[in-house]
Amino acid sequence: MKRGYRLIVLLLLTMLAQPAVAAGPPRPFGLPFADPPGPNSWYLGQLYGNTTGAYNQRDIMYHAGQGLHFGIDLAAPCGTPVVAIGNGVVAKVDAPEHGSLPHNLMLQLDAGYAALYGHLVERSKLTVSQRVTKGQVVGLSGDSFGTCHSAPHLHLEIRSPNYLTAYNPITLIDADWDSLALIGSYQRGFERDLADPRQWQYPDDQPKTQFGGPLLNNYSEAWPPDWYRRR
Amino acid sequence: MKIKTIIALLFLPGLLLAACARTAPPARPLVAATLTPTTAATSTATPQPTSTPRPTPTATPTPQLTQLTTGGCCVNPGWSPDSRQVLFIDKPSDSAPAGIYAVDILTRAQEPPQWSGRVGIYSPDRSLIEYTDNFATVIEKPSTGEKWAIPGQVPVDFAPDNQHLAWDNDPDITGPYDQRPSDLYVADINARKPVRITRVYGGGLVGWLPRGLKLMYLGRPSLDVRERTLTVLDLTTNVTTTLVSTERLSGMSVSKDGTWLAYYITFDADKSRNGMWMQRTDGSQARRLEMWGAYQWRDDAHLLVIPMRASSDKPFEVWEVEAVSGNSRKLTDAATTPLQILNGDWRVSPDGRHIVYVNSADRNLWLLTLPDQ
Repeated sequence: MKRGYRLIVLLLLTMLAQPAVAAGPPRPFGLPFADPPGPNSWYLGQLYGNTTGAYNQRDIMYHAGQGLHFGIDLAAPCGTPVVAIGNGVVAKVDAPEHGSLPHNLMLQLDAGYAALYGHLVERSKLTVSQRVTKGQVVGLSGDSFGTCHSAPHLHLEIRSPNYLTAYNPITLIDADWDSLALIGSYQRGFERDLADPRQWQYPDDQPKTQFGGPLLNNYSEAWPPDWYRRR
Repeated sequence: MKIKTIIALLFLPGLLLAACARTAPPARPLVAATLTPTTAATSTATPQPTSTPRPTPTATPTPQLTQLTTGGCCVNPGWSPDSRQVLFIDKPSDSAPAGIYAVDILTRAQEPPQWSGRVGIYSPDRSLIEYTDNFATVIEKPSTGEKWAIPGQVPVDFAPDNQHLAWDNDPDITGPYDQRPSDLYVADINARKPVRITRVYGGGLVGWLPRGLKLMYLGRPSLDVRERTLTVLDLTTNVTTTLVSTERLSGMSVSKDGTWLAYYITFDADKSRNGMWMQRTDGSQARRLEMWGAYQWRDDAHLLVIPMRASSDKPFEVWEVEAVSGNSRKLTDAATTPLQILNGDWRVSPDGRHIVYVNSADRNLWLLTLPDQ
């Protein structure tokens, strides 16, 4: 009996000394690339949310998105095929009102979201109202400056069906984000509000974006400093 | 993202917290203010793949995992120079000040994290702190209260001698990243008479090497050249060394004595070049590794690597690669050490004995004690 008790105590102590494994809600979508990540294919770039990059450009590029990076960036060579993250219908092809030029594609997904594929290298061959299935090639990745040499990447947004709200893709795409985050993590810091430095510091703990809403990160004291802000 | 921002972020944890772990080298003559800019390269070594021994598991004692913080605290940890304390930015309560807090890895159970200093970038000897104030970069000497401003609002990098500064200025921040000019400057610690070292495009300052007065920078030497070049400039001899040229180079990390360098090459047209590399900072002994993952230097000659994993069901594993031979060994086993790291947020202690990381399961800081070398 005493031995059994000791075993239980030992087991409990062992469990306490080991981190628990977190289980999150189901994620309905897949990654937008068919190939696995790697130095020849693609890797995770900038995450969604209150990133330092978006904070630094909160008055310009990301002002309409409340100062947040309202999608994820996946670095990939120009011309890499991108695939549908879920079943759905083509809603828009090359819609400049949604940004992410030079070419973009908007899908309405059956799961009740919209997906914007940004910075495509060429106009998607798909047509509006065409059905797509999860994993189907829908376009080719490009570069935000259209050069294929500056910042080649796919910018992917997941929005509400009316396009007015953007959600954090990593909470909706089924992938090993902890593993993906190993590569290039030097690009991946979140801006700190020194009045509340624990706020929005994890990849899956980021606010949703209401396009046209007020800035969420116009901090009076921030870290890292906004080195590039001018009077 | 702006290359300079990327570089700043790359070095942020080190600049913020771990830079103080550097060992201050002997005093050097003040050379920056009299430097004559040069672009003459003395070495043009270009990495070519060499045979790297494939990783082989090695039996080791089971490393220990220890919880350091509670309540979902915190991110971007660093280390005190003596490897006794883990440092991080926090504001543990509404009434507590925001700042750098420390938890002692030996007495963590007895006391909560303690205030350790204001938030800023510290010089290697921690005698100076850098921050922004009223649209200017300010350097302050906390022991005397003396402070001075740097021309322009830019992040500056303290030299290991604590007597020099380097920074880069972008005259034009519009247009494609790979075409943006960046001017590199060095000056004495008071930023008097800054000297422009060179101009590069699509890059900027990477940082000082840990010993001597050597600057590392990355960029296209001119708009006529597509590839970016990683260069080391020795300010005491005015000699430049070209380390590697490729279009997409990232993740530059220098060993603790500055002898070795690790970096990524990605998306090169020559696919045999793509991957993780180790190379001496004199330009020799470039070697591509048979791994793909995150890395940090454990000491002068051993690189710790956490490879990407095949399945999220498996914990991460830590490997150690010996720089000279390329031999590797596994330090942790997924079956016995449930290492789960959130957002690539881990940091090796200055003595190379520990890793602090953000545990993806409970979002607290945990300590991994590594097997002895």
